[in-house]
Amino acid sequence: MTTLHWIDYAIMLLYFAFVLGIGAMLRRYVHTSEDFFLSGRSIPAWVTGLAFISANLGAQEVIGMGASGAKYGIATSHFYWVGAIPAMVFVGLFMMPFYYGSRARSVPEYLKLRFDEKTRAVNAVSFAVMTVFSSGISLYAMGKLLNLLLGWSFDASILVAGGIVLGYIFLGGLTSAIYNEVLQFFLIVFGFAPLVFLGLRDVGGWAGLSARLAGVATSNGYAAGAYTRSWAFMGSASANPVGVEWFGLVMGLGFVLSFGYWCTDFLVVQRAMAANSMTAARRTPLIAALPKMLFPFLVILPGMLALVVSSTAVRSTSVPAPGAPAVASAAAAATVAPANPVPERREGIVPPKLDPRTGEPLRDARGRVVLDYDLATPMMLMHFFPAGLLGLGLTALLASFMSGMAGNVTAFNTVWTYDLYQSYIRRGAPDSHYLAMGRFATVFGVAISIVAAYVAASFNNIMDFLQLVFAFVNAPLFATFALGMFWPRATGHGAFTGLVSGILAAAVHHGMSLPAGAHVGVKGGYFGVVTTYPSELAQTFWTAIAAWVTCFVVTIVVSLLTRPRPAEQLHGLVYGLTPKPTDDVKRWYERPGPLAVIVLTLTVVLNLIFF
Amino acid sequence: MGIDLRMPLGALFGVLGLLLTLYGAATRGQPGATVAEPVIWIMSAS
Repeated sequence: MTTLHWIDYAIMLLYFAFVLGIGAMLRRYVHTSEDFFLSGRSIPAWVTGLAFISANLGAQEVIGMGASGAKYGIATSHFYWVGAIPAMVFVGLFMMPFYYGSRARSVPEYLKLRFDEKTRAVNAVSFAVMTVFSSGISLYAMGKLLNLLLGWSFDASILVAGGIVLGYIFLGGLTSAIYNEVLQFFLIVFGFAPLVFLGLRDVGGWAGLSARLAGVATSNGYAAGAYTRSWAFMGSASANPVGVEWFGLVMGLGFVLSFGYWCTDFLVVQRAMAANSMTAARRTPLIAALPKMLFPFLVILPGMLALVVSSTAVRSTSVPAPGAPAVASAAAAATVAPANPVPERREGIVPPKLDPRTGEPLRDARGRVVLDYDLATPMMLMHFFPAGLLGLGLTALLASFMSGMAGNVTAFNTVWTYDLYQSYIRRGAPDSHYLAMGRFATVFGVAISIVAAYVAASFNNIMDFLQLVFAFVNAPLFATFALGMFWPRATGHGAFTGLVSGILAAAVHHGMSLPAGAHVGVKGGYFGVVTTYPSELAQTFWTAIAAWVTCFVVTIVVSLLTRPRPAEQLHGLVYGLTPKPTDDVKRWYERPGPLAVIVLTLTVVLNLIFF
Repeated sequence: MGIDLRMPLGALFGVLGLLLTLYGAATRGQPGATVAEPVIWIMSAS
C-alpha cells in the first residue's frame, strides 16, 4: 500500500474546496426549476461541449478503457474512432435541432411530444433506475479502489465523495455540475498526460511499445501487430484480441451501441440542452468530439503501457507455504515483503486477479495467471508518480468518479421531477415546488446511489447485470428515435411495441448465446446455448444488433397498421416537417457543418495512422 | 446566469502549480522523488 505525503492530501483538499466553492457561488443564480435543471439554457458552447464529454468521463472510461487497453490493445480505440465520434457528429447535426428546438426539457419528454405518454414512461422509469444504480456502482468501484491502493476506509470514501457531489449539485444544480465537469476535464487531462509521457519514455516511445507488445501478442497466439494496429486484423474474429470481425464491430459498436448511447442518453444530451442557443446546442457534441478523439492516448495508452513497462520485481527465494498466496497483487505485496528478496527486472505491472476465497491467483483454461486489468491504470499512477504528482493523479481519478456520478445525479433529478413526479404524482404545482423537489431528488438520488454501492459490494455479478440492462434498453431506443425523428409515419403504438420487442429480442439473443469460457447465468445461455462467441464484446455487439433490428422492423410494421398523427402536430419534432435551423455565428469554422467535416476528417486520419 | 469560468479555473491550476513547484524544489533529489513506490511481485507462481 502506498503512503501519501501531505502535499498529496493538500491537492485533494484544494480540489474539494474548489468544487464546493463553485456550487456555493452559483447558488444565488438558481431561482427557477429551469435554472436548476437546465441551467436556464444559458451556457456557452465550449463549456457545454467539455461538460458533454466530462459527464461521460467517469470510472468506466478512465479505469475501464485502461483495462481494455491492456486486454485488447489499440483496438480499444474503436470505441472512439468508430463508436463515439461519428455518433457525436450525428447527434449534433441531425438530432439536436429536435431535442433543443422542441423545447422538451428531457429526452423522455421528447418521446412524449413525438409519440405518447406510455413510450415516455418506459424510457423515464428505466433511465431513472439505471442512472442511480450506475452512479452507485461508480461509487462502489471508487471505494474499493481507494481501499485497495491506499488502505482508506470504504465507508468513509463513498460517504465523502457522495457528500461532495451532493453539496455542489444541491447548491448550484446543473450549472454547478457542468462548471465542475469542465474543471474535472482539465484536471483529468493534466493528471493523466504526465503518466503517458513517463510510460512512453520508459518503454522507448511508440516503437518500443510496439516491439514489447509484439511479444505479448505472439505469446497469446496472435500476429505481432495485433495489439498496436486497429484494423489490420479485423478480417477474422479469431485474429484479434477483441474477438470480433469488422462487420460486428462497425454495425454493433459503431452504429447500434454508440448511436444508442450518444444520441439518446439524457445524461449527455442534457449538457447540450443547457446551451444558450440552437447553434450552441448543435456545436456542443462537435466541440466535444475534438478532445474526445484524442482521449485514446490519455486513457487507453496507460493500460497498454502497464502491460509492458519495466518494473522492479522481487523474486522470493523461499517456497511459499502450502495454501499461502503464491502471487500477491502488486498493491498488497508491498506490505508482504518476501524473506529473501532478489531484485529482478520484469515487464508489466498489472497484478494478477486473486480468488477472493483462497487468495490464490486465478488461472485461465490454459493455466496462465489471469491479470486484474482494472488495476492497470491505477498501478501506473502508483508506479510512476512521485509525491505531489501522485496527489494530482489521484485527484484526477477522484474527479473522474465524481464527474460521472454528478452526471448521473443531475440527469436523475431532472427525469424524476419532470417526467415522473410532475407527470404522474403532482401536476400543476407552482414552479418553486418543482425546484424544491429537484433539490430533494438530488438528496435521495445520492442516498440511493450510496445504498446501491453497498448492494454492489454484496453481489459479485451486479455490475455485469447492470451493463446487460443498459445494452438491452439503449440499443433498441436508438431505432425508436431514428424512426421518430426521420419518419413522420411512425406512431406511438409502433414505438412502444417496437421498444418492448427490441428489449425482449435482446434478452432472447443473450439467453441463447454465451461467450467462450463463460458459465451459464448473467453472462447468457439461460434459454439454452445455441451459439458461442469468441468474446463477451462480440456477444454484446450482436445482442445490440438483434435488439436494434427487431425494434426497427416491429416499429415500422405496427406503425403502418395504426393511425398516424396529423402532420401539423409534428412540426418541430420530425425531419422534413421542421424548418432547417439557421446558424447565428459569424466565422465559418464555428458553424456545425464545417466543424463536422473537420471532426470526421481528423477521425479518418487517426484510423489510417493506426490501421 | 453569466459566470466566467476562466478565473476559478485559472486560480485552481495556478495554486496547484505553485504548490507542486515549491514542493518539487524543496524535495528535489530526495529518495522517492522520482518513483512513488517500487512495485514488488513475488514471482514464483507467475
